[in-house]
Amino acid sequence: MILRCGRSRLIAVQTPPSSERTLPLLAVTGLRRSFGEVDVLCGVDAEVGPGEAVAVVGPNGSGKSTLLRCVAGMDRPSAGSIRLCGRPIRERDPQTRRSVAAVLDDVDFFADLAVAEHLALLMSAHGDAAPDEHAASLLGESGLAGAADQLPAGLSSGQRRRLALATCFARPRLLVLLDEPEQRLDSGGRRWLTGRLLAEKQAGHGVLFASHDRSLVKAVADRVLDLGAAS
Amino acid sequence: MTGPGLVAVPARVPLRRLRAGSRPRRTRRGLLMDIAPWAVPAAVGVALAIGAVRPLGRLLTEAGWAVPGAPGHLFAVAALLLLGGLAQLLRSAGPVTASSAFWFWLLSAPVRRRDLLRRRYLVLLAATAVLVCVLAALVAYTGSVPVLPVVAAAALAAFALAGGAVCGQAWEIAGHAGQAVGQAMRAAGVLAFGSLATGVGRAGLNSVLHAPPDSAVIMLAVLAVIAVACCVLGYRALDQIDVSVLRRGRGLWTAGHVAAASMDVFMLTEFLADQRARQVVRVRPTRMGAGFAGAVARSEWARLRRRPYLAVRAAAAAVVWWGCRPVLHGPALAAVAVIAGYCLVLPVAGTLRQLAANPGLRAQFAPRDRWLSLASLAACLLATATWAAIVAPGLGGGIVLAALITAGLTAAAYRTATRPPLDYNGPLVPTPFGDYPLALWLQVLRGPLLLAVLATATAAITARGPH
Repeated sequence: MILRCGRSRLIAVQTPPSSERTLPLLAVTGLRRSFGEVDVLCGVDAEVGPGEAVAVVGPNGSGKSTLLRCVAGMDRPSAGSIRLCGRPIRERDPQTRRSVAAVLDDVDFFADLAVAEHLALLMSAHGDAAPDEHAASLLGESGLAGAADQLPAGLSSGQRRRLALATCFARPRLLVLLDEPEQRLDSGGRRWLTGRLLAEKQAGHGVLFASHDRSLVKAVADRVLDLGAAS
Repeated sequence: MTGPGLVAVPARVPLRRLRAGSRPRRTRRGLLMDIAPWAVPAAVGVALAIGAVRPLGRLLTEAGWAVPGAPGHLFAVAALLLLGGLAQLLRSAGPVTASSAFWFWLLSAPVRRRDLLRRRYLVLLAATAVLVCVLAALVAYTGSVPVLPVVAAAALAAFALAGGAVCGQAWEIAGHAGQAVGQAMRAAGVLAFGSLATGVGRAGLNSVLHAPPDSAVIMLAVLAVIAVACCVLGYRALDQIDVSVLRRGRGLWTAGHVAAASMDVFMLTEFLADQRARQVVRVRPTRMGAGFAGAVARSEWARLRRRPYLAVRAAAAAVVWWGCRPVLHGPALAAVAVIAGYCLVLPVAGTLRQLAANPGLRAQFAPRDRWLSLASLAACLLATATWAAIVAPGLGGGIVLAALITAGLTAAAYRTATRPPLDYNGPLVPTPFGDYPLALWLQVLRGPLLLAVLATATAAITARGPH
């Protein structure tokens, strides 16, 4: 399966081999992450299948962001395994980076590139044949059409959040990782986000997101992983 | 508005109107302040160019403060540059500043503000004076000038400058006046070096006379009166400073502190780039078009085009470097050329640095993030080649020297920009400032080590080659 047709083989996201089709998209087993003597995550198990959304909930400090960072390959677990389509997840592996679209911390932007240019360049990197048109469309959808010619430094924090989320939806992906995506969004932005995540599920993408917004969790999540209950 | 399938590229005229609309309306005074930075250096430059500064040069040399054996007005230019740069730094940094915790917990209390800020004000005065005195002593020592009067004058000027800057901050005029002074000083310095490079007005300023002691004492006395007045006014103005003004320079302090602590100059340059972007706000987006190679090239070109100050800085550096030729000799001139080139090229490697430092950004473009790095590297190569083409003839070197400088500077910039994330689990090295991770030293020295090798090699080639 190629989720988005591109000009280059490099950008195509391949369907796992038939032997791996029964495997979940993402499988986290016995994940442990310690900082010094403090165990932030202790034996966490989780699975995300295609077209499934899993919400990670829990109080502050329960390890939601750490879990997502480990899954994205930006942090190394102290023990346990994380597998994407049956393969161990590694940030250095192009296949991993090709398959996972993540918005975790504040996304860094190029200070001298306009909002529209960011998205168009990103789409171009992933083989889009008409990146400028598609970027404009996505900007309109995400409520950033009026800011297309602005530099990121001039955006409000909510607009920056919308742009970061838009970059996630502007590229091919199998798994979407979002850390409290509702933060700084207004009510219109939250409605857009909810609709977008439901669309992700319909498209067969897996979604793993941490959230404190009960309405978002209720609307989108198929299952809930409560890290607070574990601790 | 933009609809699906339409491209959000505003035309030039509406964009200009949008920008104009987002700017605050200028008052007549503000307009004058905006013109001043250009008018003053232009006047100074013209005066320098026609040799009208001879009385100033003579005054300096009569006071015994001119550098023997070197063009006399180099000393004046150095002093102007120093004061201009310092004024600009003070303006950008506050100069009196307060951290979030300080203003949240202390400044919000109904206490006389002057009492809370007194210590910071004294630290500012002392730090400014120490910095200026050290630099002045270095200049005086290298120029075989009597150190004591120069340092005394520099200290008094520093006190006056710091006190004046605080007044400006308190009176809310630092935004215009401080900028005007800083830009005027810098531009005057560049123009002075330009006139030196072209040889205009060089004659007549080389004469060195011995100082009649009376004139030096009078100058010091006048400076002392000005310094005391500025310091007292600055202290009284502390009560008028409000929180919004106090927080203005906090970002720069924080960025400078983080950059110094992690020994990563990019932390500071990225902050400054962000500040500039905040002032620009809107740009005319470039169409990326189909094809990633073309899109990368266009994006890199757009980024360079939006930073015209890089070209201005490079041109000024070239003028200054050529202006140094009568004073510096072969190997020293070569080393200065290499180090200046490194400083100029580093900002061009910003994309490279961002991608190397930010796995999130890298992941967005995966697996083609390396293309962006290559484009940034190509821009670096272009910049270094241009710089090498400017300086190689002045060093008496041919194509080989130019190629060496190009390759070496590009490699040094690449290594500096692509330093890996710090591993805190490695061994620690004890220093007088505490224990530092060995990995940090290895990180910091990645680029500069290569730069040192390049500077040595260039200096050696220049020393052997024809002049």
